[in-house]
Amino acid sequence: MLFWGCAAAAPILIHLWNRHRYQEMQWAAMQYLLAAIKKNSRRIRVEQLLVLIVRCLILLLFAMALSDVSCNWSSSLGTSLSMSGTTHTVLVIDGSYSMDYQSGGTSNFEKAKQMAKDIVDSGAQGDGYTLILMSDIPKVIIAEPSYDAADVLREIDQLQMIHSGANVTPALAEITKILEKAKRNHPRLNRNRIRIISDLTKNSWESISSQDATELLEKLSKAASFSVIDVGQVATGNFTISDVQQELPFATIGATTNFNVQVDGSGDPVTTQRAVRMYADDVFVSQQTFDSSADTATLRFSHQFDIAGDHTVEFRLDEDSLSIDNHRWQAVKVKNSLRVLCVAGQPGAAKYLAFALQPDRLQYPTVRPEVVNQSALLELDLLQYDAIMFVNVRDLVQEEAKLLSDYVYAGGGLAFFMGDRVQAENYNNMLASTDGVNILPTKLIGPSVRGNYRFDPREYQHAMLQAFRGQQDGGLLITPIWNYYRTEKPENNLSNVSLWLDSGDPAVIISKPPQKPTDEQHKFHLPGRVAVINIPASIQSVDRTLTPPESWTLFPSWPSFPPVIQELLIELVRSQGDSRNIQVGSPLIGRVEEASTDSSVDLIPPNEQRVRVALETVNGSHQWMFDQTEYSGIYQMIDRSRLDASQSFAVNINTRESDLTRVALEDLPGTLNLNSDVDNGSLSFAGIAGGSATGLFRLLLIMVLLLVLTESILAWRYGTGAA
Amino acid sequence: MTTAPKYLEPQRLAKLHGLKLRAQHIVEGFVAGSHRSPYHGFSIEFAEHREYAPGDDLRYVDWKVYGRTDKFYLKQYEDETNLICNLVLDTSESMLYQGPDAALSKLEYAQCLAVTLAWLVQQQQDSVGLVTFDDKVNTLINPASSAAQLMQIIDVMESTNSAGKTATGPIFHELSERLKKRGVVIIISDFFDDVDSMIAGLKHFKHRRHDVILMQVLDPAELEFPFSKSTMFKGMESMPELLADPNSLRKAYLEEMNASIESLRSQAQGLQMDYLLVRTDESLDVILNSFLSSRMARIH
Repeated sequence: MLFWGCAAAAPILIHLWNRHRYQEMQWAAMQYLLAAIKKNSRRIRVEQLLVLIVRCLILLLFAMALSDVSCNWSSSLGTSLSMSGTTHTVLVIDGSYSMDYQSGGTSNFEKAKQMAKDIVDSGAQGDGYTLILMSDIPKVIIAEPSYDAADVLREIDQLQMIHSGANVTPALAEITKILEKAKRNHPRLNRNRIRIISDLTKNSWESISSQDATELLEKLSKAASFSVIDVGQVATGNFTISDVQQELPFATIGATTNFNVQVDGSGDPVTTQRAVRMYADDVFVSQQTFDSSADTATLRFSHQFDIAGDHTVEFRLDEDSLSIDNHRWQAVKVKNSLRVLCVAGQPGAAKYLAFALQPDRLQYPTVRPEVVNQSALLELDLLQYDAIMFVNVRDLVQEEAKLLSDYVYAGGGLAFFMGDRVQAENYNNMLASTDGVNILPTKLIGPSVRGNYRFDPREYQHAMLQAFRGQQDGGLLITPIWNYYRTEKPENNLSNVSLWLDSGDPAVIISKPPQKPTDEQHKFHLPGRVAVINIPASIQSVDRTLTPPESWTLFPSWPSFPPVIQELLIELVRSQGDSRNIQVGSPLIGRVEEASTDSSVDLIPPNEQRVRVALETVNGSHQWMFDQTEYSGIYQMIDRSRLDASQSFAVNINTRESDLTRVALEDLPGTLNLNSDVDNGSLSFAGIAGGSATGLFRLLLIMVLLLVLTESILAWRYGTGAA
Repeated sequence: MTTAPKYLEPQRLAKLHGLKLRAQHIVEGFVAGSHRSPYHGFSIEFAEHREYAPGDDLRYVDWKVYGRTDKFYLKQYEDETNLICNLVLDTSESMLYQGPDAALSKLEYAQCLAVTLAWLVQQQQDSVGLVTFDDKVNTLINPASSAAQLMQIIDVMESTNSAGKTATGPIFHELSERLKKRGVVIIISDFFDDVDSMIAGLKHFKHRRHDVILMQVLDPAELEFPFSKSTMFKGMESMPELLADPNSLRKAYLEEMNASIESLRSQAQGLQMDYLLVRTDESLDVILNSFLSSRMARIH
């Protein structure tokens, strides 16, 4: 612009140049010429100056109309000419799944895309565009201003909604970064405008009144003009399957697997009955209806799997305007039976435990315990077992501790039953070391003094004790205990203590070992659970201070022992299905037995765009991770080395976004400049554009035209015309 | 008269070198159309009436008197048979100006005009004399009606050098005294001089009962100021230089010029003098035709 602006000095230069270029002429009527000069010199100077100014203005305005303003905001000229130049438009489209709400055959997301395209279409030559998809973590589609409108339109066309919620505050932070970067790298874009197109749901926008958002808004409002375009709907009724819980964390063939399906929401008063259908491996299983006049309903579905392996279950709710949350999936790994390795510290120590794990002798037992001596531990493939239980094992060597650590971080469940042989110091060193293996939820102290102790369930709050609630005759409370193993109370989380003793010491502690973000070896792992049971699982633990020695407890032979062990096993394997059922945005993690030739597996997301995922080998285990879980549905992992070893994963939405309640418009800051007249899609983009550069171009040209006309009149009036 | 205009157009005269040739050309032009010419009987001052007698020229019958008295009276003019015409020609430096669109300089045109008038007067068997001046009287040829007078006038004009400033006031006073016999005094000049001084001199002529005719010869460029480029105007007659943008000055200059012309015209009329503005791009016969016709109509 400065370069073009120099053209405005041309008339002055021409004027000065002409003073040195003139013709000479003899003149007789000089006295009249001198008289004319004498009387009119002041007027002539003023007229010449006026014409000169008009001519300079013509060129200056013409240059402004035709050229880009290449000065930035910081320059004084840029400030004075801020009406000119090119515009950086930050387009922010709400990508939360509530935007999938359908009205008039079109989703709000499609409307938003069309509006964004209209904004681009109404832009001027030289304008730049950046594009952000607003979600929980904003997704920057175009980070650097793009000057190719066709490219921007293409990107908008290809935008796909993410099956997650949205949060306006991180989006504002991302806008701030983009504007700062554009200011440095694209100084020619001297005007900024932010266009946020959203349905204004409360969940996405409630953070707008936070301190962080207020500060960001204040900062942004100084650098850009805001406009929030409301594409939301008035109706907020919506039903959603908010949760599916498998009653038991495992499924075995021949056993009935139960699912509890939670439905939430509110609907129109016309439809009073709605149905939820269950599909197993895409085959219809059953249907249940519920009264939709209630805000919530829990439905119980059952299914018996006949084949071991990976299965998928889908629950479908009757369709309404928001379809995404009418589906929920569950990946179920069906096993022949749960394999539990019982490691006996002395012969016969695991007898009661094995019985408690498999009290019946069915053809297809749900749990299949295997009792071994400690010496066999290093020879077994521990990953074949769903859980490993140690019964009164005296001590562990380092190799065993390392093996157990890998097993737990691979998702396995581990339980240590204390007893008279257990060496506290060895356990603490091997399994609770600060610089080595650290999987034990607490540190061991040693045997308690002889006494008369009882279990204290403390309101049966822990999931493991739910089965005992209201079952006082089950014998749990009167279990005779004279000795137990003392452990430190978990300092950070007392909720890890599942069962207490009336002495105030923990009886059962279950927790996950800490995840170490910097631990490369375990970065893929969702660790399994580790339990410490301070009451022996064998009556062979005796107090040798007495003569004759007397047993620590009768708990292994007490009626409460089998149910406690069954519940303990459920708790130990509860997290094993977690890696197969995750929420949108969480990483998928898996393991294959053999690596393919190119060390990768294929992953097929719900949109069926196959993705190749690299394998990493850690301690001989081939593992993979995929973190682009943006869409809900079933993800299929294909192991090309073993086609029969495919794995299924269910990725579900966080149904927080299903609440379509809108943010109170009056609570939105005025700087956002809300445009909400969009119910019928008749939003005026002229207003949103805030004065397009095309209009400015025309205005400048009109001014040039008027000045040319003025110059002609002045020239005629002052000189040529008077002749 | 059908061929006269071609002979007398400035462009045609300009192709002829020397005043003699031009004079000859002019005479030929006038002779070619003389039978319908109005070029006679100009400048005779009315003196009295006398009764009509058979054989008198009916053109001199005063029809107004006839209307009132029902008798024929003729207008009697003073010196009717002995007209004395003095041609006073300005030969100052400013008369040398020749604009870009003019074929002749003002002086050349004025000389042609003077020759024409001299010839016309001589054709009437009247006396014609010549005075040339700038800031002083350079030449003075007393009026005579001899055949050689015209050639003498032409010779004098041709040999006159143009120089010096215009100083009409003192010159007119001097001439008023030196021209003893009353007659017609035709002053041919651009009159680029102080008007008040000039008018004082003219009044002196009037006081001496001369019939004065002012012929202001101006170049078209002086009347229109048609320049557009930035111009350094170099003043003649020792006037200063001036660099100016003609476009911005045009209006003011023309106002000054027109005011001067109008002032001269009105004051001349106030003194019962005839005034004629002569553009050097106009044909001689056209100018003289219209002027003499109107003058005759006014007198008769």
